[in-house]
Amino acid sequence: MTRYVQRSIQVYLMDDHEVVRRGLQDLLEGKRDITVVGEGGSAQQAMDTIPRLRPDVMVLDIHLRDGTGVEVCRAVRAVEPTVRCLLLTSDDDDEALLSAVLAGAHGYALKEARTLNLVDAIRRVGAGDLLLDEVGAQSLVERMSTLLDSGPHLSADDMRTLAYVVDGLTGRDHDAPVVVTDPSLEREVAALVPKLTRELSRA
Amino acid sequence: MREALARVEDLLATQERVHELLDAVVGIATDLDLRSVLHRIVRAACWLSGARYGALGVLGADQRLSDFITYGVTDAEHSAIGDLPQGHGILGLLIEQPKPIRLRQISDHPNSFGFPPHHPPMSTFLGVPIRVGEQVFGNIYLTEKTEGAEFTDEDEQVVEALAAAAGAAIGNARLYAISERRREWLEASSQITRQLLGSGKPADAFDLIVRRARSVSDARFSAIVLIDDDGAATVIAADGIDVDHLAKLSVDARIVKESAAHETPSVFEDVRVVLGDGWPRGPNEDESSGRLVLAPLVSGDSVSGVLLIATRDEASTVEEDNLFASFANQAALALDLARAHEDREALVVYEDRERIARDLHDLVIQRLFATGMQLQGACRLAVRPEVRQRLTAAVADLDATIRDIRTAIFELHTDQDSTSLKSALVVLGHEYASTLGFAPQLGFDGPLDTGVGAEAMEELLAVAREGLSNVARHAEASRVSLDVGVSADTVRLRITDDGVGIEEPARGNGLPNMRSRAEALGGSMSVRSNAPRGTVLEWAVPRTRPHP
Repeated sequence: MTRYVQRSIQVYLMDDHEVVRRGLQDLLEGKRDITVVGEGGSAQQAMDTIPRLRPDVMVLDIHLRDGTGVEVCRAVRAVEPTVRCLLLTSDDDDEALLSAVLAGAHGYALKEARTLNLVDAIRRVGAGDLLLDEVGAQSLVERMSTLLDSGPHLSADDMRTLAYVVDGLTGRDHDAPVVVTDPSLEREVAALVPKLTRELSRA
Repeated sequence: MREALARVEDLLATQERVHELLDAVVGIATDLDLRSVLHRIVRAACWLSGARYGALGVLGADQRLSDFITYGVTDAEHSAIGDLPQGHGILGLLIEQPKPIRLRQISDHPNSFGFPPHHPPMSTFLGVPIRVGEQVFGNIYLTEKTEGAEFTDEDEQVVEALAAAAGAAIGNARLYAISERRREWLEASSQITRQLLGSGKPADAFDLIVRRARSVSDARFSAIVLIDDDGAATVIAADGIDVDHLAKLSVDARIVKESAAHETPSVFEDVRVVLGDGWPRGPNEDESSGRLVLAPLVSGDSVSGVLLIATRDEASTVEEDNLFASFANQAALALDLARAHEDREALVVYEDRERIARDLHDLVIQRLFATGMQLQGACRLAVRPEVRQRLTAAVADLDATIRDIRTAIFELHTDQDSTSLKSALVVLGHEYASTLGFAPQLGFDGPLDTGVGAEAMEELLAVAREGLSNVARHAEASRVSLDVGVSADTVRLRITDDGVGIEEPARGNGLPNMRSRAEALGGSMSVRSNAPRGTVLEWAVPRTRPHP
């Protein structure tokens, strides 16, 4: 493969902080192999726009005023499974990893001042790599499965959602995160993140 | 004529006695103190009947005399006789058959028991029972009518009338005493409620509760025994028991648990049943004696146990026990309220922390992140190398700040019960803050909670503890940071201090132990000097699949 003819990576940015979007754009504009094709500040906007733009990579902030990156990722990939996803977050690693696994994202990047990691992560996800910590991700899926047997603090509805997610995850192959999606359940899956964070730290 | 005169005299005498009787009754009825009422009754009975000696025997629960109040016997004679009568012989006859008895010669009666040595000689006798309501309260005993005369039918009637009035007065005095006691207990309860709802914490209130319970009941000692989640009984507050005795108590948890489940107070006539042999016995107290009352102290689901008092025998009545129990009940309610109050305050603090964490997360980190990107943009434009260098350093500083904030957010959220590695490190940091004199700085990198197996977590925590304690004991440091990172294949712990460094490894610094913990998991450990001063300890083990 020759790098000279390689098409640049098309990226969509979603973050509800304008300073962050501006900063990201400034940062990525300087990279020749990356092109920002669109940006948005809300989950709804992102879900409407991304399937139309069909970028290679969507960089999604996890916490938004009108939803979460987890929900956007699942909803977009349900209709446009070729769009790969990198979650961007100010959470810590454990929460980010859980969100990424539930979202079926290809990786996550923490909001850190040194952006080398971020740029590198966009390139690798663009190239089709899966950036999730494999041991951690596997352990999460296992622990979620055990929660299905006894999640004493989860409601019956939460358990149903969890079962749906775990089914999708355990049946998945490693190069392509979750493809099983159900538009009516994406919001519930996203709402599961904080509950699971609590539940898994108790277990 | 003479006969008629005698009858008039009799009548006059009777009228006079009726007057005297009325005076006596009024005097008795206006008194509210039970003991002084009893004294007045005996004195009045002697006056009205012309007896030289009089006594009032109070019946105890066991149908023996629990008290004996005399008139006409001097203190010297009292002490010469010794113990008060218990209710044998003629005195006992009146107890068995509560109706008036008149005798010309006590010693002639078949039931006569004789007198103890040094007892004044007594021959004529009049005994009349006193009833309070339906119950026999005790008996009036009169002996030695003046000038060797026999007690007359009229004497009997007058004393019976007095006994009837006395019964009413005693009932009255008793009611008064009970209402007084009720008032004292209520006052104690409200003091506790005041303290608890003021600024007091439930823990401080326990001391006040035992102190007040003991002083109002005039108990020998008092204590609160709580049952913990494991079913063990612990004395958490006591009054009248010194530390040595407290250590010697062996509380029967089963009895405490049962008593806590009863609504009514549980009474034990032998302290040892509940507290074992080590209870604080006074110099004159028999080791088997000692009455103990246990009242349930149950509040919501947070407190389960008893408030207990060791009562003095003379002050023990069912009414008193019930008053004590309702005091305990009030105290438990107050504890419950105070705890709810405390919970509410904790909730406010919790909500505050959540808000701060949210602000840090939603605002501060975003801005620092954006600023970092701008600085890096500026870096590209900068021509002079020293400007680039400074910008790069600033970005690194920002990164350190973001990391600190992330740890702070975690600490604000942290739940002490959680079994996560990060929480355990936060708890460890808090624990060592007092030993070190400052809080160690924590840094987390990578999915610590998700990505570290149970075995590695346990070893890492042990090494972190050992390392912090080394710094506290040897390093004389003013800063310690504890960084834990999880990368694709390694779990790494780094403890950095700015102390004196280790030129000569001190003995007992636990380094070999830490090394062997690493090696057992296929890892390694190194210790080196930190520039400009201090020590860096690096401990790393390969990652394995975490056990669920």
